[in-house]
Amino acid sequence: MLFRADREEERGAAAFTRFGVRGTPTTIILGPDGAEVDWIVSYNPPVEMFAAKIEKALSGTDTVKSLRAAVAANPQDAAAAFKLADKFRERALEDKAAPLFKQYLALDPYGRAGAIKPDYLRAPVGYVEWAEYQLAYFGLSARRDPAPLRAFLKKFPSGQMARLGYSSLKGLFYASAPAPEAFAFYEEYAAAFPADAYVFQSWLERIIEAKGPLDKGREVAARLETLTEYNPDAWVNATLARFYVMAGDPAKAEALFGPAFAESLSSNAAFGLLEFADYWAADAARREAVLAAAASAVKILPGNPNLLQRVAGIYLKLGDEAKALEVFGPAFAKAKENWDDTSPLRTYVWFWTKEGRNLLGALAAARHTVELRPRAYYLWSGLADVLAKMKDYPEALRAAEKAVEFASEASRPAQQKNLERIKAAAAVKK
Amino acid sequence: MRKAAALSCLLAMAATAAVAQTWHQGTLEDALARAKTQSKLVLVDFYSDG
Repeated sequence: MLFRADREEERGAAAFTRFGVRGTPTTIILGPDGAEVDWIVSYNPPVEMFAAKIEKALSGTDTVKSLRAAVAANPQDAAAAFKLADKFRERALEDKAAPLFKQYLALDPYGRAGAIKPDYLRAPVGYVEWAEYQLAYFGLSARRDPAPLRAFLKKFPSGQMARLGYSSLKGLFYASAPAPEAFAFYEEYAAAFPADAYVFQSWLERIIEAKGPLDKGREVAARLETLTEYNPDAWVNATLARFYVMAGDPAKAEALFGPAFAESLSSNAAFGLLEFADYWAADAARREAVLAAAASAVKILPGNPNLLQRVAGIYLKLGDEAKALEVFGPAFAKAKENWDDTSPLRTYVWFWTKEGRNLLGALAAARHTVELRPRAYYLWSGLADVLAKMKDYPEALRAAEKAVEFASEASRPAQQKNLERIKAAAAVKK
Repeated sequence: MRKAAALSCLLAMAATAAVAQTWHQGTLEDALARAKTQSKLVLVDFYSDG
């Protein structure tokens, strides 16, 4: 039986009050007697993972009810005490969670009972480290006292929980501590995670809020730029731009977060979507996602020949030649902005020659390119390739000879080789 | 809400041809009373738009 408790409705609000639910989404399973059997707090996709949690709860494995019974039957059961503590922790019921975490730590000081792997962590964390972190965190969340978390960080100075611990302390120091205390904290935080750009970004945000010190800000900004040099991030660059404007260097802000940044972001997004589409194109089950990604990429960078040829390639992989021709066929080539420009036409000729389709379209475009630039060897070479693909060897040889004639000294050997290749193919045909 | 969509998917997965699960329309007390007579569990989805 299913009941939706909507906080905005009277009957839903009553359920929130009755079960003391603080955060959403929360799912509670009640027995026929109205007692809580189990709960699942928060939701992380995919849906199958959530379904598995429900299934586990319905099977009675490690539910609140079964763990309560296990602890009552055997107070020495360390794993049950830990798991029950963590169930209460999920619901932010610290008064019930804390004694159980303490009970667990007393029973299993060396952490032999196991490890926990919440959805948001990359790797499992030992029960002892997790329990100690949660007890320390309760100090911060309930009393705004950073001392227990600081003690935890002394004991567990690195790893996933240390990162969480510093991140929680950052929340306190950023928002509530006077600037000197906050800056002292950031020195420590950055020393613990010197390669984490978000630590430096947060530090710089705090400097912006305090309107200084500028010298320290420049140092932090420089470090942040270095850390994100090869992977620029819009939020980081926005922070950097705000800082440089404050520091009287608007040119630097413009360089970091001006229109060129937006252009680069669009390009990265569009080609990133294409990587996704290309990767999954062979998987029939992902067809809809592939088509959606390709369509989004075209919307972001409409008319970009390199992008369109890749989209056409994806449609061909999906067996949809008509759609490939729709995005990168004769209409593209004949569009005014492309028909008078050898660069997109060259991409067009190369793509269709490689695919061995739309060869008449490729030929028309290739012939037009050499009309536009009759001394460009590489355009003659493209024409030779499409003619050879069509097995029109006499014409292909004439075009390849032109390519050799107009080639620079450096590129002549390659063109000569291409000519020989076509000659060999022509000989085989005879 | 993603969770709402997830629960709907879950219901679709759980629904058999004969019995399709739907949200109980009455109060929670009604749902519990009914669950008691049928010896069933009640799954409560605490939901908020905010």
